[in-house]
Amino acid sequence: MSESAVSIQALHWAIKGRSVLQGITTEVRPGDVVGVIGKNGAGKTTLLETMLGFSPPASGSARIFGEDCRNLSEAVKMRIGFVPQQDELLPTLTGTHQISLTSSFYSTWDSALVDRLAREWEVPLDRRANVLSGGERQKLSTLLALGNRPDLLVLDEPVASLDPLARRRFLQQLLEVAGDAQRAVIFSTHIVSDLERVANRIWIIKDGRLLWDGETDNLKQSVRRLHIRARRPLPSELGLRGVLSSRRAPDNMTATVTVRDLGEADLQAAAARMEAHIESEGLGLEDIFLEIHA
Amino acid sequence: MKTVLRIAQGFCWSIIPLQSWIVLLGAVFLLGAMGFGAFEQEPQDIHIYAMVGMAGAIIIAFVPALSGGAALRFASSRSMLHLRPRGRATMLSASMLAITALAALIALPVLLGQFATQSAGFAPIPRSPLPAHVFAVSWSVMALLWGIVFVASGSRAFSFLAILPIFIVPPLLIHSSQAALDLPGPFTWFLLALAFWLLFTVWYMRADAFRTPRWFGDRSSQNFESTPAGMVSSLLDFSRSALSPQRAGSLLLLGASSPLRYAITNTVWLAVIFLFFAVMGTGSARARAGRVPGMEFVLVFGATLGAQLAYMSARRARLLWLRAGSDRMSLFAMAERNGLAATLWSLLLTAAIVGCFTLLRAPDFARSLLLFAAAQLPAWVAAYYCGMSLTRTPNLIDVCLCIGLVLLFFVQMVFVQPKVDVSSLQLSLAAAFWLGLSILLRALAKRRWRALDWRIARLTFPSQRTG
Repeated sequence: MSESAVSIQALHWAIKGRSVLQGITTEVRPGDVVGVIGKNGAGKTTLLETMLGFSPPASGSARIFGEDCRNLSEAVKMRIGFVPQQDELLPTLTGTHQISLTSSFYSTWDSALVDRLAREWEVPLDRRANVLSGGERQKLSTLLALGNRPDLLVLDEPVASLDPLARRRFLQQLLEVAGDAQRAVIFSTHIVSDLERVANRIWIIKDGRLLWDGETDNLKQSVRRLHIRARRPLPSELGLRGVLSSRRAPDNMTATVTVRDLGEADLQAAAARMEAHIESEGLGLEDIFLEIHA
Repeated sequence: MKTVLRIAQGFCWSIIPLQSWIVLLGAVFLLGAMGFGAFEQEPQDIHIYAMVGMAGAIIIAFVPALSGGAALRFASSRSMLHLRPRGRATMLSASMLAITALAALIALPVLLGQFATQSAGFAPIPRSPLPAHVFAVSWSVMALLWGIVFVASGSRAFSFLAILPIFIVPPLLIHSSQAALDLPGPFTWFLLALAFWLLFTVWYMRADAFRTPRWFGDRSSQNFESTPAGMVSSLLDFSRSALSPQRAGSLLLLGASSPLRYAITNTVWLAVIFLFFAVMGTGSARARAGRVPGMEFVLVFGATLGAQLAYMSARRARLLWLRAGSDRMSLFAMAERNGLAATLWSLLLTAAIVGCFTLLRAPDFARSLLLFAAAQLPAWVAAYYCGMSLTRTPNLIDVCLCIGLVLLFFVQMVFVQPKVDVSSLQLSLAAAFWLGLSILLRALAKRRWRALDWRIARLTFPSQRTG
C-alpha cells in the first residue's frame, strides 16, 4: 500500500472564537486529483494552508508524506508545490528572476519543463511581475510550483483569472505534468465544470465541515433529485433518508426532494408509503453543489 | 451628512492599524486632565492640566494630520470614487469636518482651563495661549499638512520636495537661538491656511483624476522591492548567474540578497541625513556648548527601522516555509541572523560615515560620537526583537510594548546625549539596560514564533494589474 500524500485527522482551526475548520478528517493518496469546492468563506483556503503548515491547527493533525505539518523536513518540502490564492511574486522581479530565485532552493529543478511550459502558456518571462496581468501572474506562480516536479501539488483557485480557453488548456497540461499515479494534486475552485473535467475526487466543504469526500462519479450517482407526485396530500414528514433540500407545491400533492445515498429499495418503499409516483433524476455537479447549499 | 460623518470618523479613527489605540491613549490624557483639572483651584495647576489635555488632543490629531492627506488621495482615486455621486464633495466635506473637529478638540482643554480660572475669580495666567489662537493655529497646521500630504503623496518627486523643509528648518534652529523670529500672528496663519484650503478645494474639485499614493508599495508598506532602492538591489542580486539558497533566503526575508546589501540599498539614506546635519552643525551653538553638532542625539530613533524590518521578516518568512528550514524555529534563527546583521550594518554604516566626517572636521567629538553610537547598538537590537515579537494582529500588550519602547527612546534621547565629556558610566548603564530588555524581547519573540500563523501574519502585496 502506497504512502499517503496527505493525512488529516479531526483538524480544527479557529480565529477570534470562530471555528473555520471543524474536525476535518480525510486522506489523499498518490494518483488522486482532488477538487475542493465550497462557498466563499467555507474554509477551503484555510484547509489547504493549515494542511501545509502555514497555520498551526487548533487541534487535530495534518501529515504530509507522514510528517507533521508543523515540522516538515526539507526532504518533504522538496516534494511539495503550492500555488497560493493570492500570488506571492516579488513585484519588481522579472519572471526569469523569479524562476532563478525559486530554483535556488531545490536540488532537483526541471528547467527544461519550466521553459517548455512558459512557452506553451505564453508567460512573458522578461517582464516584471507588477506589470503582468492577473492570469499571467497565476501562470507564473504555477510554473514556480511545478519546477521541482512535486509529488504533492496544491493549488488554491489556480484558474480564477484565466479565460475559458486558457483555463481548459492550462488544466489539461497541468494534469499531464503533475497528475500521474505517483503524484497527488489538490486544487480548489469555484468553477464546477473544471471539477467534472479534471478531478477524480471531490471535497465539498460547508461551514468548515467536509460534507462530501469521495469520487466524483460516486457523488453524481449518490445524489438524486426526486419528483414526487401523490394522489393524496403528502405527509408533513416524507420519511426519506439523506434529504439535502425539499420543495413542495402549494397544494401539497407534489414535491421535489434532493436526496443523497438513497437506494432503489428505499425509493420503492417510500413510493408505496406515500402512494405516490416518484421519478428520479441524476444531477450534474453544479446542481448538486446548489442543492447542498440550498 | 451621514456619509460625511462616517468618513470623518474614519479619518480620526482608522487610517492606519494602530490609530484607534493612539486615539484611546490621547483620550485618556485628555479626559484624565479634564477630570482632574475640574477639581483644581490654583490657576497654575489648572493651566498645567489644560496643557496636558491639549497634549492628549494633539496625540489624537497626530495621525490624521500626518496621513489624512494620503488617506484622502487613496479614497479619491478613480477606482474608489468611480460612479459615486458627489464623491469628491463628500470626501472634501469629511476632511474639512475632521480638521475642524480636531482643531476644536485641541483648543477645548485651553478653553475649559480659561473658563475654570475665570470662574474661580483669578486673572488669566500671563503667556497662557488663548483658545481662539490655539484653534486658529491647529486648524492652519492641520489644513496645510492635509493639503501638502495630499499633493506630495501623488509622486515620489513631490514627496521629496515636501520633505525638503526638514533639511532646512532644523539647521536654521541649530544655528539660530532666535527660533521664533518674527512670525505672523495666529489669525494671519489662519487666513493664509484658509486661502490655501480654498485653492486646494478648487483644484481638487476640478482635477481629472487622482492616482493612489505613491509612498507605499502596499498599504502596510511591507515591500522593499517596490522602492527604487529595492529595484537597484534586485538588479545587483541577479547580475550573477545563480543565487545560493542562503542568498535567495536573504532576498525573500530582507528584500536584498545580503544584510550588507540591504543596509546599503535601503537604509544608507539614514547616514546621508545624519551626515547632512553633521555638516550643517559644524561650528553651531551646540558644538560651542560641547555637544556633538548635528542630530546624532536622535540616533536611537533609527532603531525603528530595525523593528520595521523584523516585523516584515516575520511575515516574509511565509515565503520560505515550503522552501527552507524544517520548522518555525529554524526560520526564526535564519530571520534573526539576517535581520540583526542588516540592522547592525545600518547602524555601523551611519556611524562610520558620520564618524569619518567628524574625525576630519571636528576631531574633538569623534571619540564621544563613536562611543555614543556603540552604546546605541543594544537599543537597536531591542527594537529589532520588539518587531520580531509582533507576529499577530496587535493587541493591548503589543501596543503597550511599542509605546513603551518609543517612550524609552525619548528617555534615552534626553538623558544620554552625545557630548565631549560623555559619561562612560551613563553609556554603559544605558547599554546594559537595553541589553537586558533585548534578552527579554528575544524570549518573547521566540515564544511567539513557535506558534506563528501565516494566515494571520501575512504579506500584503501591491494590488495586481488585471486584464
